[in-house]
Amino acid sequence: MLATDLYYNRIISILEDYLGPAAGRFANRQVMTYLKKTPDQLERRDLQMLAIRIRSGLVVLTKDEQTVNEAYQRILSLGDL
Amino acid sequence: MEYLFTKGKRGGFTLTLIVLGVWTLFVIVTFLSPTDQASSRYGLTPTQINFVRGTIVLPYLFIWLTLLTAIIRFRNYTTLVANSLEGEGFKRMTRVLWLLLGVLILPPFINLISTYAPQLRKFVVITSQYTSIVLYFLAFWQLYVASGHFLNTLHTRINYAKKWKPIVVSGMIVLTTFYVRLLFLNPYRTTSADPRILPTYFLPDWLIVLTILLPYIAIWLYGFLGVANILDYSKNVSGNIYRKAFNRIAVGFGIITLLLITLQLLSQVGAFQGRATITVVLILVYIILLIIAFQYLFIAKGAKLLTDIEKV
Repeated sequence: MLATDLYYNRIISILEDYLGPAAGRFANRQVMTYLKKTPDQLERRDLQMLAIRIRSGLVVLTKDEQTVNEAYQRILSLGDL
Repeated sequence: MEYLFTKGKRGGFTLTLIVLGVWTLFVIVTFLSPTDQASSRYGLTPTQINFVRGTIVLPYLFIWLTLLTAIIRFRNYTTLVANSLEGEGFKRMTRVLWLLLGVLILPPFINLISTYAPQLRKFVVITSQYTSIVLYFLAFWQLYVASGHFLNTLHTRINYAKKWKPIVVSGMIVLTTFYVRLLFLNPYRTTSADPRILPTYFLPDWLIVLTILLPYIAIWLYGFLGVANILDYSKNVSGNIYRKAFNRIAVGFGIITLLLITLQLLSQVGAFQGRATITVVLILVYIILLIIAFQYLFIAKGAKLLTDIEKV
């Protein structure tokens, strides 16, 4: 299992492929608004909820379903590590 | 006053009202100005002159409002990312748009003075030229500085600017040669014996070279380099959704910069040609202004997409 901050860093690294420099701010908002946690409190069990929130956010930003699902799956797969 | 020039939709609404107010003032001052000068110069009746004035003030309103839309969107986004690495670049891009709004609004107002006070023509022509040059210089210099800020935020970068370099250099050589030729072919650049034609600059040649030609070369150089850097950043920045939004802004600024340079050149052509050429030049100017207006909407849309990323 990965350390808490590693989950967060990997999520940002994945999101950078879609949101570039805005990835960190986007991830922070999702974690703080929907999980009511700070990034350093992120746990493995939060990943599914976070992946769903991120998917909902990306759907608003792009019509490309493939991109949205790809990001969703990549974040979910962090739970397997 | 606090929100007016800083942030928020309320500030945007107030700014729109201010621009509408300035435009209304421009319309009133334009239509109240004496028609006798234009009548004798172009052989038009007062009604025809007022019709021509109408065809000028309406496109002005359109382009002022499209640029204001871009400013408001950019300003809102800049507020959201003010503390980020790329915040400084966006802040300067917003400044570029403000300066371009200044170029659109100030010189036409200054030019109106000569219709009320023909004895001030020389002062008006010189002031209007220098106002445009100063504002264009500041705008394109800011664009160049902003582009540097964007490039500095990249961790890794393929230097596409290298590819642009020969295009920038050859573009500058062509533009400068063309401009120098136009400038010195213009028999009315300093004085005019024909009362219907106003001298373009009212300045001796050495002052034209030092204070008009050289600043324009610097303006074009900053413009080209700024655009090349911004396109470079838009190709290098990570994130396909972000890149798509930023690309709209990069392409929009690129087209606007090229068209503004074309307008600067056209303003020199129209100055001393016959009436038929002037008509063609005027039509071209209107078409270019229309394309520029749509590009402002295009970059406003890019800024809106970037804002959406920060709000989801």
